[in-house]
This record gives sequence, C-alpha cells and structure tokens, in this order.
Amino acid sequence: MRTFAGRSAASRLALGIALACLASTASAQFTVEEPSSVLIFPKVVCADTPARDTVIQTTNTSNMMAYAHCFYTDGQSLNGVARWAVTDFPLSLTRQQTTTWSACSGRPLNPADSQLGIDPGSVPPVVSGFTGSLVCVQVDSPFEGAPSGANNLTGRADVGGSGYNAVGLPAINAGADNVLDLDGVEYAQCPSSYHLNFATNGSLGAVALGPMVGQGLGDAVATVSTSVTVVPCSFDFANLIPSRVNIGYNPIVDEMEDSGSQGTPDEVICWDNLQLDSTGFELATSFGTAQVNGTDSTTGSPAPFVAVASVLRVGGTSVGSDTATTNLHAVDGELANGQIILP
Amino acid sequence: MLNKWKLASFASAIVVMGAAAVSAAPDHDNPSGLLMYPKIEVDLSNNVDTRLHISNTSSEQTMAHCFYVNANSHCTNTGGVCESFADCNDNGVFGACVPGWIETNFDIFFTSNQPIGWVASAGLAGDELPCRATFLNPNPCFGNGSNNGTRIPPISETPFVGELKCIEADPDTRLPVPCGGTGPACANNLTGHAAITAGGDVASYHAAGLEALQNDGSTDLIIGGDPAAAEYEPCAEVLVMDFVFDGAVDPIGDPLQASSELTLIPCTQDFRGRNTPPITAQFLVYNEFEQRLSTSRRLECLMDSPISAIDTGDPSRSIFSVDVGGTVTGQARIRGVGGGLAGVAMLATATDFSDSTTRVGRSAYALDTVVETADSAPDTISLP
Repeated sequence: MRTFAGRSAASRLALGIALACLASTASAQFTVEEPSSVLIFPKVVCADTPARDTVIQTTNTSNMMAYAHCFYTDGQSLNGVARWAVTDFPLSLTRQQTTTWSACSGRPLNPADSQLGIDPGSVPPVVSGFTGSLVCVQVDSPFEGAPSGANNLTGRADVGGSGYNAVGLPAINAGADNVLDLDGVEYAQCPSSYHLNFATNGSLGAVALGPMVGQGLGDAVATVSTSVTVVPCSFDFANLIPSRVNIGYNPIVDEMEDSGSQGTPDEVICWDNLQLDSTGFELATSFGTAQVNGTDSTTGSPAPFVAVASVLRVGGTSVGSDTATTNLHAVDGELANGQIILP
Repeated sequence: MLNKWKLASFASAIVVMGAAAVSAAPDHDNPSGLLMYPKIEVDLSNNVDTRLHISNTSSEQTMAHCFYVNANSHCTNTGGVCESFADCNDNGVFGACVPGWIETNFDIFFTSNQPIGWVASAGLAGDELPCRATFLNPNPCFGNGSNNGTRIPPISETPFVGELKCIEADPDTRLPVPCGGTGPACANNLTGHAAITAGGDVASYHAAGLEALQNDGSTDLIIGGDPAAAEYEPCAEVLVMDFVFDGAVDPIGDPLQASSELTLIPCTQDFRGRNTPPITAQFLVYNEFEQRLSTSRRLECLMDSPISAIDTGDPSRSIFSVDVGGTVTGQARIRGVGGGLAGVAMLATATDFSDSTTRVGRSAYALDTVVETADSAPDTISLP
C-alpha cells in the first residue's frame, strides 16, 4: 500500500513536470497570430453618425473548453478626463469553437434568437459613441475563474469593413492570482516601440481608388491619411485606474533618408486615436517610416502599449473612401513591463 | 482527494507539455530576414493594383533579393490568362487552362532606415529611385549610400495574381550573408506590407516574416526542421483562419452578405530548377456548433480562391458556405501535407456581389499560425 509520502512524491513529481513544461513554452512574445491567453483588441468603435460598428470574432483553438473574462473599456473623454468605464462579461467556448458578435448589438444568451451557433455567454452591447478597447483574459472556469495559461485564444476585429488581428500576449508561467504580470516571466511583455510604414499625409496615394495616376482618365486621385490607435498595455480593472503612455515618433524617415522626429509627444490616457497629421512633419516623398515609441509620462522610461494603424484613402467624387487597418511590427527587443489587475 | 490531486497534476502536465512543443513560426510581428507577400493582385482593366512597401529597420545599408512569382494560368491555344477552360475559347475551339509558375527576380538596395514603396503594375527604377546616385551627385540622400542597383520590374502581365518573396542578402553574392553560430548575428531588418486596391476598396496586410537563425552562405535556404540545421524560423504547420461563411449575413447588419477569399502559397520553392513540387492543403472547418467538416485541395503553385470555391464548383454546396456551415462564422484549420504554407485571407461585404457598386468593404488579414512540432520536415528555398 502506498504511503502518504509516496503519494505526495508522485504528486510533486507531476507538478514539477507541469511547471517545467510551463517554463519551457517557447513562444513568449507578443503576437498577432499565435494563440494566447490574453487578447487585446485596441480599436472597438460603435457610432451612429456616421454608422460604424465593430465585429469581433474569438476562437478557441484547442480541443478543450476555454473560458475568458472580457473587459470593454470605454476610452472616451469628457472635458479632457478619461471616462475609463469598464464593462466585463464571461465567455465560454467549446472545443474549436469560434464565435462572433457586434459591439453595438452585443450577443444575448438566447438559443431561440436568430444568431445561429452556441452563444458564448451574454455579451453586452456597448453604448453608442463607444471608442475603446476590449481585453479578454483566459480563465479556468466560466465565473470568477483564475487566470489560465493555456494559450488557446485567437481573435480578430472588423471595424467598418477594415480588419485587424487581436494582439495576443501568451502566458509563460501563469499564476492563479488576479494580478497578471506582463513581464516576460508570467506573461509576455508588450512592445514599447513599433515600426509604422505609411504614405505621407496628403500625398497622392500611389494607387488611385479610381483611374490610375498618370493615365489621365479624369477622376481625382486618392489622398491618404494615417491614424494610430493606441492603448497603454496596463489595465487596472480592480481599482479602475486608467493607464497612461506618452507616444512619440522618432525617427521619422522618408525614402530619401531625410529624418526628423516629433516635437512634443502625445499623452494617451486609456485610449486614443492619433492622427499623423497632428505631428506636423512634412516629408518629401510618397512613403515614409517611423518608429512609434511609448514612454512613461513621469519617468520617461519606455512604456508598453498596443496599437493598430488605420489608413484612410479618399478618392474623387465617383469613388468613395475606404479604410484599411493593420497591426504594427514591433521593434526587436523594445519591450516593457505591464500589468493586468483583475477584479 | 489525493488521487484527484495527482490526476489533476498529470493532466496539467499533459496539457502544458502539448503547449511546450510550440515553437517560433512565421510572424508578422518583428523585422525578418525573409518576407513573403502571399497575394499580389493586378488587373488594370478593373482598377485593381497592389502597392508594396518594404522598410530597412537598421541603421546600416542592406539589400533584398526578391522574387515575383507569376501564378497565372494560361490557355494552351491562345496563351492568354485564364481561370478556367471557358476563358480559352478561340473561335469555338476550347483550349486547356494550364497553371503556370514564372519567376522574375530583382534586387533592392536600401540605405539606412529607408522605406521603399512601389506599385506592382509600375515597378520602380531609374530616376524614380529615391536615392539614385550619379557622378555629379554621389550622395543623393542624407546619409551615405544609394539605391543604385535597384531595379524593380513591373509585373509581367495584367491581369496578374502571384506572390513576392524577398530575402535579405549580400549585395555581391545575392545570397544571405553567412551568420549565426560563432559568426556574426544574422540580419533581420526587413518589414513590409501590401495594400490591394480594387475600385473603391483598400485591403492591407503585413508581409509574413521568417527570422534568419543561421546561414552558411549556400544557395539552399533551410526553413524550419531540425533546430540544429534550420536557417530560418519554420513555416506554420497549421494556419488558422477565422472567417465568415460565404453568403452569411454580416453580423453588423442585414442585408450585407459576406464573401471571403483565401490565398495560400507553399513555403518550399525551387527558384533554381523552376520546379516547385505541389503540396496538398487539408482543411478542417468548424462552425459555431463545433461541428466539423473537411476537404483538401492540391496547390500547384499558389491557390487564390473564393473560399466557397475551394471544394466545389457550386458555392451553395461548399463547406465554406452558410448553406452548409449553418452559422455565421467558422474556424478553418489548414494544414500543408508535403510542406509548410503561408497565406492571407480577404473578407468582402456587399448587398449584391454581382454588382460591384454595392460593395461596402474589403479587408485583408493574416492567418493565425501554429507550429505543432519542432522537428517536422523542413521547407527549402533554392536560389539561383
């Protein structure tokens, strides 16, 4: 008969194996295409005028149930003060299940409604005028579950016809407490710098929405403007304290290697959509690249953030406009610690 | 309780050991030594073109050796571009529509931190180069160096569907610089993205990047496989595509319907022997009820297809159609048999797809990647 000590030894051995394997999980950096335990959707919009909505799709890539605790954060500001209004809800996904909802409508838990598929939970609609982000943290049970390091979630969002992949932060050695350290030890760190490739503001889009540039077929050619949606990569959902990051562009380089930098960084509290126009730099060529840097507003040290870029192309009267949203490339090695505090 | 604890511990070990086998896969997140643009599309008669953008993220000059692959099919009788035999009608005589694979290679020389953009239909050369050095102006740009030697050809024909691969290389040998091991660190300085415009729509995606790990300077690039021999990160074994079933009502609102296209390219390519072996893409499709259907498709060179045409000629009977799938969204897991894959998907919405003026939006997105085993068979790119 096995003794208590023998059983304990076997259990400790199993736990040791589990911890060792957790520690050896290879992909430990922020990602926009690998399954993760934390998903961040930086740009979620619901508006009436003009009508815009965001369709969010989340997938469980494993053959086991996956649960998530999700948080909408409203990034609107009133009189210069960030609202930081947080709405949370649970998700339950069966094996390999993908689910979708629109931010403006949500998705009620109602098997009899017209939305086919297994409802993942009661997903609330956001308020009209919502501009903010969505964060989903994988947990080990549907209600008040502890964080799970299973790395089973992927997601994408379509904002008014332009889509991006959710930013994923894989778990490395996830603990069971409600403080998720995005430090490269417990969870992957967020970048503090990104590469942004863009067409220079107001330049003729190299590809016209209508007739091609130079073919002289009559219609006006496209102009281009770029915006960057920024969310600080720290979230205190327990104490509802909004995070801040200063965003600067340095260097900014055009195709002739002329470089410059932005004068004064933009402070982002909770969420913001920064137009490239506001930085005031004029480049001489049609294309440029910039390094977008996040710094702490107090200390000036690198600060983590997530971002997506949206490019609006406006054509002539016979063609409309369209927006394309893309994820950004992170600068190698430029990472900083963040934290997610769950309620 | 002790038995449950032991069982739970072993179960945890099994789950995380599965997770621990995941290793680096092609990513769109960091600068790389090898870029892949799975979809280049040009059709000037329909105002479709692709703008390409590559940036050198380092403060040193660098060079990229690039390969356009023209994946158009051509008629055996007329030589024209075709999608099926129906396009090969020559006075009532139908020819065959044969898949093609034509490669065109060229070099791009970057100065430090330089972005370069061009339109696929026009290319970039000569006076259009941002930093073109001449005898009278040897330093045309603000730093040292020039784009001399760069000559990006326009794509060879329109309409055109194909891909682009760019490899960071030595300007003299046009091969990757030997690196890794006891030598210098490998250069991984390239980022890129593409924007496909079609009428009023614009869809952008990032180039897929593979980081260089080591290189012996040979003409055969080993991608993935045995970590001791791998010269680049592995291609994904499984691509995960979250999609809206074709014909499904867009969740934003009635009456918009969705239609998606999927482009897949093989990671293995023989630019030297001009002989890229076909591989098979296997598709597992899950709807929101967790119900699973499957199909497979052979890739000769590049697959660019509406998703509901992947498995059948009748879209309403496709496993990617809402008529079969039964829910709005689904997940497709795509595995390459005989090699790794890279890909990009595009989602379009419209009230009536037969009338292009009703199109509301079109967006491109990279596919999620999974590398399940670290020592699967490698892909190779053979350079001329």
